[in-house]
Amino acid sequence: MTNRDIKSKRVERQVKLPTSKAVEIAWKSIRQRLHRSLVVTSGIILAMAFLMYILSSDKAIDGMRNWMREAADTAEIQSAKKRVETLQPQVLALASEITIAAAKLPANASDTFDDKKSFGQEFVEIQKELGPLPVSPDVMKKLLATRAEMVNTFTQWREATTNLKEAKIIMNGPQNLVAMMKGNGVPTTDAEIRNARTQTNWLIALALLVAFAGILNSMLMSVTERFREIGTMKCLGALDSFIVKLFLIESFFQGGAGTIMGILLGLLLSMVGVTAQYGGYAWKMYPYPSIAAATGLCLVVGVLLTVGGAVYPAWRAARMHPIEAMRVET
Amino acid sequence: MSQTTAPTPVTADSLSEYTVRTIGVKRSYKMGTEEVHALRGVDIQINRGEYISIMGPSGSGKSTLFNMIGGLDKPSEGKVYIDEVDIAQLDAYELAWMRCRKIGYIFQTFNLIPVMTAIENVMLPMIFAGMNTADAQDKAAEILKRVELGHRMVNKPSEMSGGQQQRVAIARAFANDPAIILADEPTGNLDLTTGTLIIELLRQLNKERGVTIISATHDHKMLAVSDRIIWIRDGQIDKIERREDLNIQVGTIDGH
Repeated sequence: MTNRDIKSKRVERQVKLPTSKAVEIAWKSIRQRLHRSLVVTSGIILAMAFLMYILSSDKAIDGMRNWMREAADTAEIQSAKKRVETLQPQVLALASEITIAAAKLPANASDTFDDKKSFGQEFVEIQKELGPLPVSPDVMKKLLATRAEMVNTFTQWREATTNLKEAKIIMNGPQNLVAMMKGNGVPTTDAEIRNARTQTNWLIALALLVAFAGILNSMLMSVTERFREIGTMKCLGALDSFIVKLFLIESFFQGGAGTIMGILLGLLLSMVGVTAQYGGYAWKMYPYPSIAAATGLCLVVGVLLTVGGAVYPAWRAARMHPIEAMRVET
Repeated sequence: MSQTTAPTPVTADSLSEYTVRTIGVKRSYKMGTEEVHALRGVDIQINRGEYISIMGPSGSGKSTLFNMIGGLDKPSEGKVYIDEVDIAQLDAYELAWMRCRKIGYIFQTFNLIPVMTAIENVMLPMIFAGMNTADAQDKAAEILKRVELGHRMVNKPSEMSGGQQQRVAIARAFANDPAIILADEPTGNLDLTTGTLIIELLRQLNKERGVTIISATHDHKMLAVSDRIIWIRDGQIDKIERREDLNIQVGTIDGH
């Protein structure tokens, strides 16, 4: 009997395990070493959070710039302008009615009017909110204590003034926003924006680089610290392809989870950031489609980087002789 | 696929009586520009069911020979036959099959997969062999009971003592009913009593399953139960002793 014959009888080819088995083992491994994988994942989370923060803040500011450019023509601002035009005379008329009535008050008029109870706020507080009343709070109390019908007039004045104030804020929004942006050193004119564009692009490139380095480092770490495990698995009959598959799937899970967490973190930070800086203006024309595009980009970049970062170490680990792999001190 | 069948019933004895056979095995490594000869021509024959210890100082080539026998390394020159198959002719798939079905490995540092429970560790080689999960579970449970770990099946390695971990590793090595068990300093990380228990267990399994056990060791307790001891020095066989001769020797060394 020749050697070949013996071989064909005594040795079979190792079966290839289905991918589902690799998924099962990878999933188990991730769940079991959650703490450890969180450390690895934290690199991915931070990197992706940085990238997403830069991208979405940039988009949010773009959105505000668009709003500034287009706001003057929007129905909102147009109607605010009209409202200011109609409210202004109303407020003046009501105020003068109150002033005239107050002038006629007798000197010894009682000032027992309970403003807190009638309007929910004391006159002093209303004044802080809306600006000076037509007459001073003390006189106002006397007037309303003596002439009950003036309560209605004051209510009307208060309402009209509130509306006027709001309408004015809306009408002056774009100017306010420009002032805010200038205060923050954000370019506002087209020429400035063009100049600043390069800088932003550099920042985005830097964020990408940070993401790349962070993720690659994390993946290298996670594979290297498991050389012994890989060697053991090979001794137990794992095929190289199975080990590569195992690590790619694991890194896919890890990268996916880390990327999603990073994106959420970055997005949240940027939302909080722009809101803190620009208040409601940030949400006037928040660029949801661009933000969605940025999210998609980050997702692709994150997962590609993670899986891509795992390919080399996993391939190297799988090709190692089992003994070499186990010789590595851990 | 004959996935769940026991080891190939091919009449081994009709072909040859040797489980492992090496012919003029040489192995050299490149260390920088220098050529290091780890093995300088080794011929050994190991019979089915034998309990063999390989002894030798570190750097003697003992580990290299051990790895060669285990199909973990290939010779630069010469032939290594495992179950009469020349391992040099095997491709990656066949080698993996061999490691999975023919050989069981036991390590000094246990090398259990830390994230898996005892039973999952024992099931792993069966899963690699293509066995379905339910069958693997039953079989793993049975082997774990055999090594007296029936009560610790769902424990992680970190929750077990060294001796228990090594018993899980032994159960794992026996998972696919291998022909050969390779034990690399199996008692090296264990205390005296635990080590003795592990050696006894290995010896029992060796007798009741007829499996060939080959271990690299410094442990004199291990030598005492071995059928033969192969002494390696400078990449060559220094001497081969049978147990009968050895008993006297251990006596003189230990002084009792």
